[in-house]
Amino acid sequence: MHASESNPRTRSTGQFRLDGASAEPPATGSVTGNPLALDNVAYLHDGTLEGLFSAVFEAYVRHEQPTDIAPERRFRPRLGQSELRIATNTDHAKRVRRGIIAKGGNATFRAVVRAAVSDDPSCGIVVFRFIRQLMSPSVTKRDAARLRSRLADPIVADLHRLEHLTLSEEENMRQFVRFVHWDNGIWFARCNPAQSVVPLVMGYFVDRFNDQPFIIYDENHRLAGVWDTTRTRFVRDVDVVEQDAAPDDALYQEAWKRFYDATSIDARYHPELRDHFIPVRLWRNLTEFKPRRTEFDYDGALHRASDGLPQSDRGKSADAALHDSENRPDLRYSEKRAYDALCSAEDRTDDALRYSEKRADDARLYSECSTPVPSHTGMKLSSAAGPSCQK
Amino acid sequence: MDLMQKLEILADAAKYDVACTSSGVQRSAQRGQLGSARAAGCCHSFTPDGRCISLLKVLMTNVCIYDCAYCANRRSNERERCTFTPRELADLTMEFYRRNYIEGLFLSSGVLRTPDYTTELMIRTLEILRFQYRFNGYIHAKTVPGTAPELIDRLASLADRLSVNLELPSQESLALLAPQKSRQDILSPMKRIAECSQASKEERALARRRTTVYAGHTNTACLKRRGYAPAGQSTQLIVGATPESDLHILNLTAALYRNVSLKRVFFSAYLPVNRDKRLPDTDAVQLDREHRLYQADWLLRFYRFDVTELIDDAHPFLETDIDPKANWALNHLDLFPVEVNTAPYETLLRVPGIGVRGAKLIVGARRTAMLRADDLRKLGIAYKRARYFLTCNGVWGGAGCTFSRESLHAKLASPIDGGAHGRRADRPIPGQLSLFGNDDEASASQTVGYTTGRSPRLGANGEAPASQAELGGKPAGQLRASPPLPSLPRSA
Ligand code: SF4
Repeated sequence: MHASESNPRTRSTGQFRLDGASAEPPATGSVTGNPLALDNVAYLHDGTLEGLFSAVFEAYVRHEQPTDIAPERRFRPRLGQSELRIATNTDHAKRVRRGIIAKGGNATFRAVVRAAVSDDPSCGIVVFRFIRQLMSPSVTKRDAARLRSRLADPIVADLHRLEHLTLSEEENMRQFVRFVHWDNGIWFARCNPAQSVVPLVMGYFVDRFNDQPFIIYDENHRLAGVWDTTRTRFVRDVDVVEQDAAPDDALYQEAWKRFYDATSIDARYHPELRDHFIPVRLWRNLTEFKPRRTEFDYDGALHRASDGLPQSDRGKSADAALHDSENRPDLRYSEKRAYDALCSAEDRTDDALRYSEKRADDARLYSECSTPVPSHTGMKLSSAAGPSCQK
Repeated sequence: MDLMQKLEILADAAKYDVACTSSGVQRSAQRGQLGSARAAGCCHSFTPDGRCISLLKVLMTNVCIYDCAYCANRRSNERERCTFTPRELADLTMEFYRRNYIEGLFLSSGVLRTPDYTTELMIRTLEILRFQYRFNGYIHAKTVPGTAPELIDRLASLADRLSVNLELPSQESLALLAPQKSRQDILSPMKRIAECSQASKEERALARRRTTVYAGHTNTACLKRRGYAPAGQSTQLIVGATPESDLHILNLTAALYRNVSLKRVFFSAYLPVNRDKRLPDTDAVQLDREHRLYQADWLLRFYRFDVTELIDDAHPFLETDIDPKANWALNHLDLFPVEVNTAPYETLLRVPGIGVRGAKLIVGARRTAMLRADDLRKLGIAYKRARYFLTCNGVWGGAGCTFSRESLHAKLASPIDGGAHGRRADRPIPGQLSLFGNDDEASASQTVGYTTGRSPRLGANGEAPASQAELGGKPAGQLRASPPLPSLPRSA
């Protein structure tokens, strides 16, 4: 991660690591003392966790109480509000992190990170207030570890709410990420979480699928988590050009859809309950909600599938593909162009752009995704079956 | 027949088994092996009926030499029959797993030739998965009644969870509907699994502590072997095919938790798939009853309730218009209201609308602040229900309502949300179990209304709040003996 000094934006939230060095927590003094302090000011940062922490650090340095801390690209100023752009400074961010851990412990830091990656517009200021509360001298170190359970305190309650949103989105990703097997051996998953949780769940997937190289691409935050079977990396601001699927991939996707239809019990049909468990906004990336193929050359696909590599050797070719692209240093850390085998900005097709830039509204997708499926008894199994399920 | 057709037929045949949980064992991944398991389980999808899909749930084969009245695969039914080869099934499991469709495999089966032959097929499949493909994910295997104990042991060393389906709550019902299965066939493997699983757990715990060294060698070898059914065992009961009361079913459930240390008992509302004169002649599915039984089961396992507190001989069926916890509270109004800021944790757990998580949050939050009604709302408890049973700093939350059984009953009663579709939207026919004329009690109180609900999560299958298992203490150990026990052998 040597590029981070020159361009801190290449660092992602998930890469936020810290190693010892000079240990002093951020100043915990009062806000008096700066005659130039602004009183209705918004701090703008680059949208990363490091950016947010740098802004928190800056507030301590300048003895100011910003009224907003927000990512620059999403910020709309309020009336009479002045703006201050905060340059991301990794060292400052590390000091904030060290301060939080020293006082509140690792669990508190994790909660702060979860709240901070939330997409909620208030998240910057919620995190800032919580850190102030945590670091204030009136909170002893013993209390600080327990501060998060004081839910009657509105500052803590806000943090708890955001943390909870992120936690549930993490669980959603663990449940609903679906991989597609590309012909070049890479497993690719496209997802659209409401919070930028890919860095937080990457470790879980790396653990579980450690022998398969994969990419999880968050189309909402344009962030890709890449695992090449030795190392995890995150690439920001990329588009993905989808590669051809492996010959047997369509077979297994189709098999999964059929399995999904076959396990449903008509006599218990209750789509509202299902929709309660699977948020509709996630449907568009779920294999089981994609249209069924009416005709499918099973025998052909099966043949090709069985001709392929034996199961245990599948990962090999993929490794090779990744290693090829890795040996090209000019591509390794560039911000816009990640692996050109995987994601390339130059030859992006309209198709690849469709999701990331012109995001069709969920309502339309909802109706497209839910192909009516006649079940064995002729009862419609899709939510398009009746008007009341659109609720 | 191609793989796709087989999958459709065998998934369709397995769908009536409601157990589909991937919980109970935490196993971190290993380099070079595919897969891991989480104690809390993970639901990867939900069917249009709202049940979770966590595992690839299929039958090894739907050929069956038995003839159980309630089963779609019984010998006397005309159906298309097929069998997976172990290789096909193992490949399918791996491919689904790699795409993150599933958490593992749920393997059940009809009886092909003999129970032993069937089990050997299943073992072969699991061996391919575990040894050849180095699959480290979750496997739930069903044991076929009548299998040799050695084969069960082998299965247990490959799978994470085993289950033996009890299916029918009493000996008489079993003799009537599943004449080829005997109660002994079902209970003896259950006991064996319980004992061996316990022994293996103890052995591993000892080895982990490294305090026992026998004549120069440490026994860490046993840690390298797979444990014996590390996620324990579960079972399933069909509700509504036979006239047993809720009282009977819940007592049986509690006894199973206590005596054979089951992890879960699943209830499956009887679905008419066959025409048979031994079966109730009705189209109605007792989904609401199933829902209430799950709620009661939850109270037994996580809320430290005893069966006798929920149900008694005078009312052998659970109320349909009100959930069992609220019902208990209404029967014990003298214990309420309780003060949120001082009541002990156990008491908070008993308040309708406060769950395990809510009670813990309250205990944490009240350390530093006096909680008011507004704070409780923010904690995410169902304050609308809880308020009648609480005082916050001395102020009763239920102002505007009289503190009496009748008025509170009206406030707390709510129909189970059965959805606007399909047969759940229909009202079951009252008195549907008239087939068994001798059991008046059953048919009289069998008026299953169109009903109810707390959050559907409770009723929905799947161990969604399985993390509560850790929080809620030991359900089986907490239960006290309750008088009218069904005849179950006691394990040592
Ligand atoms: S043994 Fe199992 S599969 Fe066979 S008829 Fe009985 S319940 Fe059905």
